[in-house]
Amino acid sequence: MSEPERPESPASQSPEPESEVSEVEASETGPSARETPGEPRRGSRRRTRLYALTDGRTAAPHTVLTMDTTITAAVGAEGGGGLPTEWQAVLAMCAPPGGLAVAEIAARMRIRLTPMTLLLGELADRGLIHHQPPLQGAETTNVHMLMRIRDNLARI
Amino acid sequence: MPGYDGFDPSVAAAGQVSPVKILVAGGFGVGKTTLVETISEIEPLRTEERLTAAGVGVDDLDGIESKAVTTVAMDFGRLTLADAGVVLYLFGTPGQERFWFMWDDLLSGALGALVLVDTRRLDRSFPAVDFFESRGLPFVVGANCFHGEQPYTAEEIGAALHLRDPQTPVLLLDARARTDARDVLLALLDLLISSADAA
Ligand SMILES: Nc1nc2c(ncn2[C@@H]2O[C@H](COP(=O)(O)OP(=O)(O)OP(=O)(O)O)[C@@H](O)[C@H]2O)c(=O)[nH]1
Ligand SMILES: [Mg+2]
Repeated sequence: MSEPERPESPASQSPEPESEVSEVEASETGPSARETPGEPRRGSRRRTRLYALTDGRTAAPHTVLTMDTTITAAVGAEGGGGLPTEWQAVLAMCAPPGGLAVAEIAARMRIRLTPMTLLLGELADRGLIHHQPPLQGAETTNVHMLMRIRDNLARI
Repeated sequence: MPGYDGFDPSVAAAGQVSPVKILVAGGFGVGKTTLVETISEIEPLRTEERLTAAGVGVDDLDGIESKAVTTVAMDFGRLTLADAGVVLYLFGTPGQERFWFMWDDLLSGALGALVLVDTRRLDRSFPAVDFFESRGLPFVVGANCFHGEQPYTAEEIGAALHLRDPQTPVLLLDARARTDARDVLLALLDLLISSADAA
């Protein structure tokens, strides 16, 4: 696991690379910076709070989620005490045993899919949520599974 | 590549249901949103995504707008089938198919698709049919009866669509009727079961 896929020269690998996230973080320290005219219209203050959670990390989260992954909170909303209230809302929304699809969380939080997916990935990296992908490969051609779905569907 | 550890055993241990993804596609105005709403157990939801012309899900963290980027909206609905231990996730594909055709995440992991057609404008659903045929995703066709009756038979519609597999089911339906929406899903499951049996 060295870094063969990183094309940059060693000189560019500073521990805190320039990034959108660290810029957003920086604006957190100066409230006036958020209110600058010309900021993106979608509630910049809320954005800042959401992205502040990533600690200015620029690497993609270790956990890769997709729109059809089911997310279940691993801790209660109170367990996320230090987190922004928006994230406590996500944890409350995904309370076990049910959980919610990434797409549904994005819709309810009014956040687009890609940023929602990245941010949930970050929560997964921190152990705050569990995640389950949709049925894959062999499971989708398992006749018994398909027949169970069919029979249940026929009764609705 | 970031690690993808996928299945989380702690979730299965909690007895959680497995997600199953089904796409609802078809041309502009064919009834995709209506069908998702009809079958879903929750109020209709829309999920937005930003795509470039290359189809990559590029979302900015900084709000920079670009002409090469467009926002598409998908319908989302779900139906829990507790006895089967699954929850169906229904994704109504966005209308701008030139974008979603290149959007691999939409297709990946899907069990199958429902392609809706309006027989007055059948050509609008050709791209969806072509797409699923070329990607090998099983699908069934639902012909919406917008005026309460359908002047064509299922066979005629199937022939006009030039379906690669003539056995592809074609159903006449009213996307607003729950039994019709259920029947088209049942037809998809029957198709999947027969191809799993044959394999
Ligand atoms: N009579 C009749 N009307 C329908 C049926 N399905 C949909 N409609 C109506 O047709 C119109 C378009 O339906 P939508 O569900 O919005 O279609 P859509 O495919 O989501 O449309 P876009 O997202 O714009 O591509 C709506 O006014 C529906 O109420 C049907 O089966 N019968
Ligand atoms: Mg629609």
